Amino acid sequence: MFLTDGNFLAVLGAACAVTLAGFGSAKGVGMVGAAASGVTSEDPDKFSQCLILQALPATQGVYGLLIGFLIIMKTGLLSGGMLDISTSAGLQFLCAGLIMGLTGLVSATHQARVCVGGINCIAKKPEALVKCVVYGVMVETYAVLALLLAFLINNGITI
Amino acid sequence: MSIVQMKRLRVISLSSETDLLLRDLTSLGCIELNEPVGNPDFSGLALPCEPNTQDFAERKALVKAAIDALAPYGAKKPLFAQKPEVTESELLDADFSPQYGYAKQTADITARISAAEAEKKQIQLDITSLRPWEGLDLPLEYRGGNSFEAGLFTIPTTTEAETAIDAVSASDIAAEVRLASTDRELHYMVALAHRSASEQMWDTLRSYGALRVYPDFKGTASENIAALNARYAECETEIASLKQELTELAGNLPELERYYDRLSLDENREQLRANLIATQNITLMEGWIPAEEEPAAAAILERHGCAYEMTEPEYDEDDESTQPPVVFKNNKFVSRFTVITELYGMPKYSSIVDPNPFVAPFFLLFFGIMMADVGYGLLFAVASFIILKKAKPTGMMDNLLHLVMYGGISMIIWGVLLGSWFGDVVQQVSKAITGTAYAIPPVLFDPISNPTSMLVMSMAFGVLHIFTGMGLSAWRKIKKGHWFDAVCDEGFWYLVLTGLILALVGVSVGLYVALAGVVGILIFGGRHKPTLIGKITGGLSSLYDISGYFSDVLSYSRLLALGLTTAVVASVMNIMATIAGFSIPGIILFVVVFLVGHAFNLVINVLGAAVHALRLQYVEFFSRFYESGGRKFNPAYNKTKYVNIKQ
Repeated sequence: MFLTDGNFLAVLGAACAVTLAGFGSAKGVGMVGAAASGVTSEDPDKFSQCLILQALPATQGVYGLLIGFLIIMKTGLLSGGMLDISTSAGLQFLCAGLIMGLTGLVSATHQARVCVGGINCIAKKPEALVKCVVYGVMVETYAVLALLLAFLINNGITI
Repeated sequence: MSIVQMKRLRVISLSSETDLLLRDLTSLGCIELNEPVGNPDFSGLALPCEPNTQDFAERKALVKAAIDALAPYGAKKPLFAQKPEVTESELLDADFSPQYGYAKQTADITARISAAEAEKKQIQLDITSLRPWEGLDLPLEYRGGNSFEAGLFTIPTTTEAETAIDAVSASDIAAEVRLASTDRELHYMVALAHRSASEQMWDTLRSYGALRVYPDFKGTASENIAALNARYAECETEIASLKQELTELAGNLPELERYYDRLSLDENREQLRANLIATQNITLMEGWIPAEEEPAAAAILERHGCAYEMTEPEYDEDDESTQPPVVFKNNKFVSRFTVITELYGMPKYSSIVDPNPFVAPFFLLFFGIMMADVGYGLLFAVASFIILKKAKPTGMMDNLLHLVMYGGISMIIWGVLLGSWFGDVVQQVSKAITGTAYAIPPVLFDPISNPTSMLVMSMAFGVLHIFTGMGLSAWRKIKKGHWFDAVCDEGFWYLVLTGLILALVGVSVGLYVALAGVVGILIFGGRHKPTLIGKITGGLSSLYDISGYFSDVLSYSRLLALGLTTAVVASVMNIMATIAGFSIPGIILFVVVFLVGHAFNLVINVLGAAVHALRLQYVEFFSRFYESGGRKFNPAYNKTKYVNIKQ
């Protein structure tokens, strides 16, 4: 029964971390990029400022990749000899992955909304860039906390 | 180490001296002129000056256009070129009328080049429209004579040309149709008919979708094409010779750039007049000057025979609009970091606290922890050092490069402490080559295998940061004489927090210390409330702030999180790079993946680390003591784009 196969669950955890967080980041970066194109069409000199705001939601995807990598490193998948993982350990890996994946998904899309607001702001007041960036970073706190916990859980799982 | 003390400056000068006075004051570069707050008694006598910058703006636009047009023809500038140095008098006293002439010449040549290019385009369009008729030796304007009619037309290629020709022949009228040429979409044909038969012929042809065309040319198509080609060649030679003229003019580029800067300075000086009010003979100006510049300014004002006074400012603590503008005075190292506070928003002048000497080391510390890596740090430090030495930039670029350099040094230090040299590349490469992994041991600990220690260290730094913020708030209260407030607001909280930390570490007396603090807060927390009930609930709600302290300290766990991100992604890149083993393709793969992967890691994480380090200053640190709402000091100074003025 594949649902009790610990190895499968561990890899599923890694997959969830990467895909869900990546989904969030892709959607988020895309949203901001679309708004940035609009501003750039009026004033191409604002490119680098818009780029900074567009890069902010990208970090959740990186965090998801991180957790995914840590899971597959810990389970031995990366080095070729995957260890035999019990159902319980597999479920724990799944939890770690889901923590990062789900939080990354939601925080990236919401961070993107803030960044789109930031882009609208710098369209009128380019000197307010750093303030808008700080607004965006406030949302990232939760992705960072999720990363932390997922990391600590992953570290603490005994196979 | 402080917010600079400002003095209010008021000057009355002779109107004839005003221009020279403004020039000298701008040169001094430390006086901000504001619109006079206005003595209403003078309003009938003195009028606000209206600056006339239009002439300067027009000339600037002309010169800028000339510079942009000539730049591709001029000498190539190296990537990190030093800006030329001139003395102030060379810039402001020189006669630039030859350069103005060159700028106008350039504008004229550029216009002629555009016209010639436009003509070339039109010629190409005309030739394209004439091509289908090239084989026809009938003059294009020919419409026939008295008794017969001729015309050119097109038929879409969905019908065969033969069909149309046969249809007209078959209709047995005095008309004939011939094919001139065919392209993908249309047949180009000519029709000749006796006037009596022309209507019928055209009806027949129209049933096949014929459209008459009337090319606007005289003579045959091939004659016209030849003439157009000749004209095209003429245009090209004209453009080439015009470009040659531009190349000769491009030798004047440095002087044109100087002229542009001269115009900018003149324009800015003229713009300053908007802040003055004047009668026919005298001019009134008002502004701010840092107290320490008083002697230098006094010397200038004396030299121009002005009446002046520099007084202590009077302002209202709570009303920002009455307060003087804010500028910081710090040593060279700390002043690089002033931009962090400026980006957030200047503090109120009355808040006395200069946060920069604390922001600087903490920012570097946090940035270094989050980006800890010797390899990346070396890249940053060495690259910025080289650029600084070669290009000797000024202003914002200079500041930024120094910040990058200091950041790099911090990264190197923390990389050594945490054992990250381009991630774990030493282990991976040695494992790939020899089979056993040799590691450079970290001086402190390895954050990946020992995250708890890293977490504790991060939170410890967090507590230090927060305590510093509280300390600044207490210092300000003590400076203003509110000893009791300092004790109640900060003193008791110090007791509570220190006590809790001691208790956590295992020192049992910590609990009593914390308890003492709690009692103090409960009693004095509500001291500003009027009623007794208010005082009690005020004490309780002040105690509730403990949750704020907890969440702030927890927020510093992002140092661990982001530090891990850098380290783990670097490790991942190294694993991928060494995956092909120690062989020729393996080494090639290694080099490629190493360069690309670490570049990616560096870019992504530097942005995150810088932004989070900033956020820690703005949210956790500033919220303890910062009073924002101040205005940045905006002195008039010589701002040049292409040259540097020798001091």
